[in-house]
Amino acid sequence: MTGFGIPSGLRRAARRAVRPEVVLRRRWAYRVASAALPLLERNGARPYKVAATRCVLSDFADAYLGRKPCIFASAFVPTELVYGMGGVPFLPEAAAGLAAAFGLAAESLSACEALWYSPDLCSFHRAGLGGAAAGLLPRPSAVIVSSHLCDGGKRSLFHMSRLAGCPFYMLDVPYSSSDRAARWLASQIEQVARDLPRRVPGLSAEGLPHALERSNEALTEYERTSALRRNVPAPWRGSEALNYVLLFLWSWGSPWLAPFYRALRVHLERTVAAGDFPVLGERHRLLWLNLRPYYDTGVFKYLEGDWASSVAFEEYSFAYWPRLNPREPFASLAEKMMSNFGWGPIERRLEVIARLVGDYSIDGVVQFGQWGCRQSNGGAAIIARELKGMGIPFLNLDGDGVDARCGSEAQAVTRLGAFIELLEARRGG
Amino acid sequence: MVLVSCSYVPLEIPLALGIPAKRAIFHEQAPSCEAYLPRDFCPYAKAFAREHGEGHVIAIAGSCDAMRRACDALRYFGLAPEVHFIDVPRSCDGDAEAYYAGVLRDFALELARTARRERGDSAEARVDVDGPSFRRRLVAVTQSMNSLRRGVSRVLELQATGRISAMDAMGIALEVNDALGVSRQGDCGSPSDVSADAREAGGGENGGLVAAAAVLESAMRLAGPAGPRSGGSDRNRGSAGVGGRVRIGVAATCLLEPALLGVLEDAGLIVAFVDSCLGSRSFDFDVPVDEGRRDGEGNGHAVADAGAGADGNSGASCDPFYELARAYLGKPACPRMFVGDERARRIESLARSSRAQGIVYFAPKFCDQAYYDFAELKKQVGERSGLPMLLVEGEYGSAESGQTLTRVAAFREMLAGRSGL
Repeated sequence: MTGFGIPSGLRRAARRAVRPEVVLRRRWAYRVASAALPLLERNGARPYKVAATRCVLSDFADAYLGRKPCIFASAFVPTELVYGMGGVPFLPEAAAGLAAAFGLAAESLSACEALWYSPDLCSFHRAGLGGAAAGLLPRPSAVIVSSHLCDGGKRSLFHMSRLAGCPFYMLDVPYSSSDRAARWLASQIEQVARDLPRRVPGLSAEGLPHALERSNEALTEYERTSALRRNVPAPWRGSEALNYVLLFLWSWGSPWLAPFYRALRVHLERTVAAGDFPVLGERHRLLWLNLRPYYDTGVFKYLEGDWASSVAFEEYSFAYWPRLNPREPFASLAEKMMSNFGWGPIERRLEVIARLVGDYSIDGVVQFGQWGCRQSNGGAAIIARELKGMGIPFLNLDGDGVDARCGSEAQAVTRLGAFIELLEARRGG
Repeated sequence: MVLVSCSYVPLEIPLALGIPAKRAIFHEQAPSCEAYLPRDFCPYAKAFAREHGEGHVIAIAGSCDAMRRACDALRYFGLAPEVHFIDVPRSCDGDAEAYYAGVLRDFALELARTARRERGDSAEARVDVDGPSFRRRLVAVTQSMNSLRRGVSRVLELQATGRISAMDAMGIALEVNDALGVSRQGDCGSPSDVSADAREAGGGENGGLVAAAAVLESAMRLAGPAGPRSGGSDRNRGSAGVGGRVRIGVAATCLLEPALLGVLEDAGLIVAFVDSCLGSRSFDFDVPVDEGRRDGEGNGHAVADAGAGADGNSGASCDPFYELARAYLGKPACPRMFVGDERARRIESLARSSRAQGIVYFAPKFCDQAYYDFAELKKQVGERSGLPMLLVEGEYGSAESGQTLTRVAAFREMLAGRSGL
C-alpha cells in the first residue's frame, strides 16, 4: 500500500524531476492538474477521489498562489472560521502526512532538526516546522492555534508565525464544559474574528454564517457515509479512509467538502448494493485509533490482504460535534471545539471508543502509537484496561506516521500478525 | 495534605482552608509507573503515577499533555484518594484572569468539602468560600506567602551575587516548600525554634507557614552578612572569571533534581540564576492583596463566579481569587504559557544582569514544552545575545551520570576558551 494511493515509482520520478516548492507556486501547475481531472474521471477514476483532489487543489492554489489570505491553523481549530472570513486554511501537521506520502518528509524533518528541535517530538509537527523553514509551505498571513489536545501543534505554529512575522492567535480551550468556559471560548473566537480583518487585508467576518451552513451540509453527507460504513463487510478500506482524515481536519466550511462526501456516499451505497467489498472474505473488524504511517508501508497490505481484516472505522473519522448554528457562529464554533472527545477527562474518549466498538461491530482495537504523541499514547494503559473490561482485545502499535526512520515495518507486521492470531483464536478459527 | 503539580496553582487556597499544601517534589519514579503511563513520557508526570498516601489530595494543573494524562491515570486507577484538575489558562489577559479566578474558587469549594469531610464536621460547619471570614483568611495567608516569596527571592539574590551556592539556594527553597506541608503548629519545632517574626510572617496560626518562615529565617541568619551558608558553598563564590570559574544561567521547565546544579558547580561553573518552576519563577512575584482591598470583600463573588470576559471584570480587584489568578498568571512565564517574546526577554535580561556567559537548558526527557522552549530560546536569546546554550536532557538520577558530566565539562571548556580564561 502506498501513501494516498500514489504509485511509488511515479512519486520518485516526480520528486527527481521537479522541486515541489517551485511547482506549488506556479499557476500552470494548477491549470494542468485541474485539466487532468475530467480525463481521470473519464478513465474510470472514482468520482469521490476526483472530488477530493479538486478540494485539495483549490485550497493549495488559493494558498500557494496567494489568491486568498492563507491562515495557518492547528488541527482542531474550526476551519469554518477561516473559510467564513474569506481566507484559506493551511494545516502544516496535516500537510506533513501529504509530504510523507510524496516522499518529501525527510527533507522537512532534517530542516527541523537543524533548528534544534528534538527528534523526540511528534514528527507531524517537526515536518510541518521543517517544511516552513525549507520554504515548502505557503506564506501565512496569520496563524491561529487552539490549546486543546496537542502541545506540539500550538508550539510549532507559534514558531512558524515568528518565521513569517505574521499575527499569532491562540484559542485557549477550557478543560471543563461549563457555561462559563463556553462563554470564554466564544468570546476568544469573536475577538479573533474582529481582529483578523484589521490586521489581514481581504478578510471579513461576513461570510461566517454561510461557512457554517456549508459545514452543516457536509456533515449531513458525512454522517450518511459513516452510517454506511457500519455495514458488514466494510464497504471502504480503512487504510484509505485514514488518508482522507486530511480533509476531515482541513475542509469544514469549504464549498468542496459536501460534494466530496456526497460522491463518497454514492460510492459506498453502490459498493454495498453490489456486494463488491474491498476486503475479500472479511474475518475481523478493527477500530483504528490515532493516525497511520503515511509513507510507503506494507502494513495494510498484510492486514487487509493476507489477514482479511478490515479497519472498519477510525477514531479520527468520528464527527463529534452537533450541528452548527449560523446565527450564533462564535458560540457554535466554541461548542464544536469543546465537544472534541480527546479533550477533557479521558472518560470522554473512552465513551466514544465504546460507542464506535458497538456501532461498527468491532472485534479488536489498534492504537497507532505515534512517536511523541503524548496526548494519545498517554491514555493507552487506560484504554487497554477499559477494553479488557469489555472483552475487546487492544494493541498499542508503536510507530511513526511521517518519519520513516522511526517506523519498523517488520516489527509492526509481526505485532499485528500476533494480534490477528489472537482474534482468530477468539473466533475459534 | 494537598500536593500540587505546578507553580501556577496557588498554595494559598488550601493553606487558608487549614490544609497543609506543597509543591510535589519527587526523588525517583515509582517502579510501577510504566503500568500506567508510557515509557516515552515526562519523568515528572510519570512520578505522579504511584500509590499516594491516605489523606493526600493531588491537584494537577493542565500544564501539558503528559500531566493531563497523569491526572487521568491517577483518577482512573484510583492511585490517590482525591484528585483535582486545575485548568490553568495559557494566556494572561483580563478574560483569562477572570476565568481562572472562577477555577480557583471552584477549587476552594471542592477543598472545603474535603476538609469538612475529613474533620467529620456537620453540614452547618461548612466553610463559605465567598464569606468574609474565609476571604479574610485567604488574604492573610496570601500576605504571608508574599513574605515567604520575598524571602526566597532574597536567597536567590544571594546566589546571584555569589554569596551562596545554587545548590544551597535551591536547598532552602525546597526546605521552605517542605515546611508548608507541615500540618500543625507544633510540627515546625519547639517554640524556641521559631521567632516571633517568623510567627508573624507565617500568619500566626498556620503551622506550615510558620514552619516555612522559620526555615527561611534560619537560612538567612546563616547566610548573613558574613558570607556563605555552609561548607559546600565556596563552589559558587566569586565573580566571572575568578579562579577560572565561568558564570552561567540555568533554564528549565521543571528542574527534576537539584543535583544538576551541584554537577555544574563542581565542574567549575557559577550558577548565577535558575529559571525553573523550582527556582525563580515560583518566587519572583507578589499577589497584591492589602488591607485596603479587603474592604471590598464579598463583592468579588459575582466576578469569580461569572468568569467569562464578556461579563467584564468590574470590582474584580476586590476579589482575592481574582487577585490570585491575576498574579499567578502574570508571574514569570513558564514555557507552557503563550506570552509572545516575554519569556525570551526575561531570560536575556536575567543573563545580562547576572553577567552569565552561557545557559544550560535542562529538559526532562520527553518534555515537549522544554524541547520547543529550548529551540525558541536558542533562536531568540542565543542568536540575539550570542549566548551559547547547552541542552541537557535527564531523568531522575541522571544528573550525575558520566554523560552529563562530560557534556558539562566540554561546555565549560568552550565557555572558558571564549572568555580567555
